[in-house]
Amino acid sequence: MARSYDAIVIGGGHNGLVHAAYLARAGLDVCVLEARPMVGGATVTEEIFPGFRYSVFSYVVSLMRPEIIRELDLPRHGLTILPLESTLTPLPDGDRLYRDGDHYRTWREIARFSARDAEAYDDYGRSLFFMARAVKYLLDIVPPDPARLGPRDLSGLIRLARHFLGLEPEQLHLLVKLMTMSAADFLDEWFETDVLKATLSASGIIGTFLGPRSPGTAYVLLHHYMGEIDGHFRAWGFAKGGTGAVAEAIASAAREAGAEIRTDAPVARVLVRNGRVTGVALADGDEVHGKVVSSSLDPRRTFLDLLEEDELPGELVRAVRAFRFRGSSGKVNLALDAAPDFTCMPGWGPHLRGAVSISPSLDYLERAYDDAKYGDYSREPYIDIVIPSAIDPGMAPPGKHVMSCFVQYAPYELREGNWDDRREAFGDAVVDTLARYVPNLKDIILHRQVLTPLDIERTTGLSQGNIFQGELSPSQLFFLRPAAGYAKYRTPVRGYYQCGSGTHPGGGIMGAPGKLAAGTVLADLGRGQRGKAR
Amino acid sequence: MSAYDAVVVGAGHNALVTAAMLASEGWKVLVLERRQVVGGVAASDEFFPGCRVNVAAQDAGLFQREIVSDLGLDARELEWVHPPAVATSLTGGGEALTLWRNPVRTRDEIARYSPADAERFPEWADYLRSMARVLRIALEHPPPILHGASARERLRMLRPLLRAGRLGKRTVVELLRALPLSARDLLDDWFVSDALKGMLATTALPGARQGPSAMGGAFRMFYHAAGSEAHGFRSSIFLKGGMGALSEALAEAARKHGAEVRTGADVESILMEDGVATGVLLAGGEEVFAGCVVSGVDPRRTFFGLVGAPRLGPEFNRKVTNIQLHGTTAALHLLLDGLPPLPGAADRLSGHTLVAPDLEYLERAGDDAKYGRCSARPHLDMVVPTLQNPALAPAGRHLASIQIRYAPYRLRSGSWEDGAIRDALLAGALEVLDEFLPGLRERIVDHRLLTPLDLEAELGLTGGDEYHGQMGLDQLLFMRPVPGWGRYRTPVERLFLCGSGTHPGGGVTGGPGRLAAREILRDGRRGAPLGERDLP
Repeated sequence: MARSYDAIVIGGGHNGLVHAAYLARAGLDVCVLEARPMVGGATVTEEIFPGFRYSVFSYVVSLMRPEIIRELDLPRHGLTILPLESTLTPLPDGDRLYRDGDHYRTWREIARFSARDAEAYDDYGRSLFFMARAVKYLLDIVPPDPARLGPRDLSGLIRLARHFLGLEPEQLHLLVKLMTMSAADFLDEWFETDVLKATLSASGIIGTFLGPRSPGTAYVLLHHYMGEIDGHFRAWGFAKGGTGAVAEAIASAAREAGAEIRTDAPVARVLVRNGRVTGVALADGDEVHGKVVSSSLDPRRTFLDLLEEDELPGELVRAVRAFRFRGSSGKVNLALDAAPDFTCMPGWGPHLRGAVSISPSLDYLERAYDDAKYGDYSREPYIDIVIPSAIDPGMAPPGKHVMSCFVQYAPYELREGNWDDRREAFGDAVVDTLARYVPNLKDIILHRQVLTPLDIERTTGLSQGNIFQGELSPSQLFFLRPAAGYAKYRTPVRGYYQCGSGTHPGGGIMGAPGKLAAGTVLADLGRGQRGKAR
Repeated sequence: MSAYDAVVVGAGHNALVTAAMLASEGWKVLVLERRQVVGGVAASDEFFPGCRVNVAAQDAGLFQREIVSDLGLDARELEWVHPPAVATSLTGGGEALTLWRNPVRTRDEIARYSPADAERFPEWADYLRSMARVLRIALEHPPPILHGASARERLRMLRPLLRAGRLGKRTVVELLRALPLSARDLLDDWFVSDALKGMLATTALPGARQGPSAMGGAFRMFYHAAGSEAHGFRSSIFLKGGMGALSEALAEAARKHGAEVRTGADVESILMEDGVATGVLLAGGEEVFAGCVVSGVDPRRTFFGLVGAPRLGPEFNRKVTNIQLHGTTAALHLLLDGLPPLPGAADRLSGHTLVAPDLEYLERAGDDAKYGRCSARPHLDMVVPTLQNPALAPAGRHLASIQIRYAPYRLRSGSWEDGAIRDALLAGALEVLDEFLPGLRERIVDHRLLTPLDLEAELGLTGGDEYHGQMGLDQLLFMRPVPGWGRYRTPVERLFLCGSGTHPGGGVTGGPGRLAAREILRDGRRGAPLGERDLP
């Protein structure tokens, strides 16, 4: 006999869990269905190698909306965020660019390369800080829809215009540049030091299939500036116990509010009767019924996999088919017998508690992109490294370490061969690249986990392994995410909602889509939160 | 009291449009052109004895026809040619894919490469035209003023919105979605044939140092399709008398309305009195005073070359320095003693003839430019004007003008002064030409190569950029030429811009010249020319 709920949430990733928590807190009888044995989706910590705990996919926290942390009281549910203190960019010649919280030290460090850049650095930081604050307004609203242009959309658009026209002219111009320029061109206006521009531009290419010189990357750069930890802006942090701790804290908050969370429960399809959702069918044939079903999966799965095409208007099917995923990144997790020893900063030091960025020059990043453009992984990839065990000793046995390497570019579709045959070769390319800066690396590797876009897709269900559930490109943002006319979390099927990163405001461990979608669901059910649902 | 109401610097097509429009309002106008012929990028030059060669611009299809009627341009001078072939892509092995003006022929042509694409093409042609139509609304109106706009201004700014609204919400939203896409993304959604995609992607390349995978290409595809018929490609319309005919007709119209057009008059600097432009100083030392100065020269040259950075604020100078100006193209002119032995050459070569066999070919050519070197295997865009009008060359001769992409102005190593680099560029282009259009090389009687450096020296284009500034989404509307100065005015009172560096941008459209003239006239207090107003 199938059990029936007020609301079923498909997928126990961080957005699905946030969504469930807010629905449960509003008094709904909620059930979360997660395909994997543990919650979290791409936000998980797993002990792949005995004693060593990997943040398998997502590895740093920053974008999580502070009000969600507050409202769900996540610290009480075990969430502790430890700040990443610095960014180190090693250079092939043994030199480096090292920036940390110490303002004067960073100024001196940049001045070694260019006094002008050292001066511009603060100004740059202030400007992006301001821009991010101006744009953050968008993270908390349901996008008005010019394709529908109902009264609410119109008023929404007017409020939007007021908000941005309220900016100073210079700031508005800066914003236009950020929305349209390439990260490299944008940074050229501020700096002359190649390594500084390269490292800053790196956050503009993460999760995209674009090079730093391609227009559109300046926005992604801004997107990564919207992070905020305990009100401390632009701070990046690391969750104690690994990224999985974030999902577990949210899950615990959801359970406390009365939500039921079922793991090992993959959903096969969404059940629809005369245009209205009635529940879901699980892979094992069981049915779970609900008045409301919310999918936190990406748009392709939400619409094309879980529904029949004839249940959807053709324009939506076309739009979702055209929605761009094309995963471009991979992940290499290493278990180390000792601490990595960087040529540019030998021995133990605070730099190991920060991020390390393999981005010596803009050309280096462009060449890495070129390889992927022509269907191969980067011979010398961009790598973003954190060493969680240096920040949180609990992540590895005493004296040993885990190293998390985010790698770009790794195209989902290879021109030659397939990922199953080339996985380890890809891993070798990453380790070889790293070893140029960390001579002792190869001798201290105890275990290596290589994740290609294909692996990311297989494990987490993210189409083509795109970490943002769809590229964060101007054509796929705001009222266009995932498609014009369908960006307000509702779908053509009554009672069926979207609440994943494939909806506004997009990817990263942010939780905003889950929360905004919950507002829409509750508004449609006539349960308060109306303000949020606009 | 100045001798003139307005002195116009440069006689490019935009400057001439502005001059003619001001003169037609009764203003006393003087146009000063450094070269011996008018037209700038849109000029015709002899180059080879007894020839009339399009110096740089080839295609007249983007020119706003309203201007022709507004100025009553001489219909005899301006004979528009719509060749049977819109464009032909040389796809290798002597093969060619032609988009004809006749859609039925086009369909059969594409079907040889992909029946599915042939089916889809008419829909694409309509899509491209509808996108171009919405975009065109933005191009025909002055850019919006976002801060401190008067009530009257606000009303003016509503007009384009209402016009766009009439075309339907869906169309407008689709344009918003598609504008930032790369040519590759857009075309992958439509077609499967590499040959067809490569061919169509070429319309995204002019005006930017960006390959087909870079975002913003779709915008340039729509931009170059504005005003063209629905044949699914960029405009492909020429002038019987060559591009020079257009510029000469514009100069003629200006004279008819009483303007003076002086060639061989090199403006050295703009004269100013307490921050107000009062006239210009010519190379010979002659000073010309006027109520206002209008520059058709690109913004960086206008401000740094003619005004001088010290006379402008540091903030503004920074903006001018930050303009994305990238010359990426070289022009190769060939004198031929016949056509290559391509079957039906006279028809097939009558439009744009392209070497762009597929997207990857273009991408790799773009990569070379990205790293500051000439493309080893460049993309070529050839026009044979003598097929439209044999009189442009002596009997039995043909002219071919080829745009070579990419030939970046800024080279990582070496300089354009170095003959070896010129020779390498020429050799590379001829090699590719020989490979894709066998037999043409043997027909070459004489040639003339214009590198980006030559274009800068000859035509005064900063960085050899024919568009006076990259056509990217970051340099449009109120962001063009520099943020906040989109209305043709400058920090120097009574100095105006009217060239391609201003909204709506580059290409032979006349749009900037037309909108600039309107703004200048608005400042001229209901027709009373600026010269008759007392200085503040």
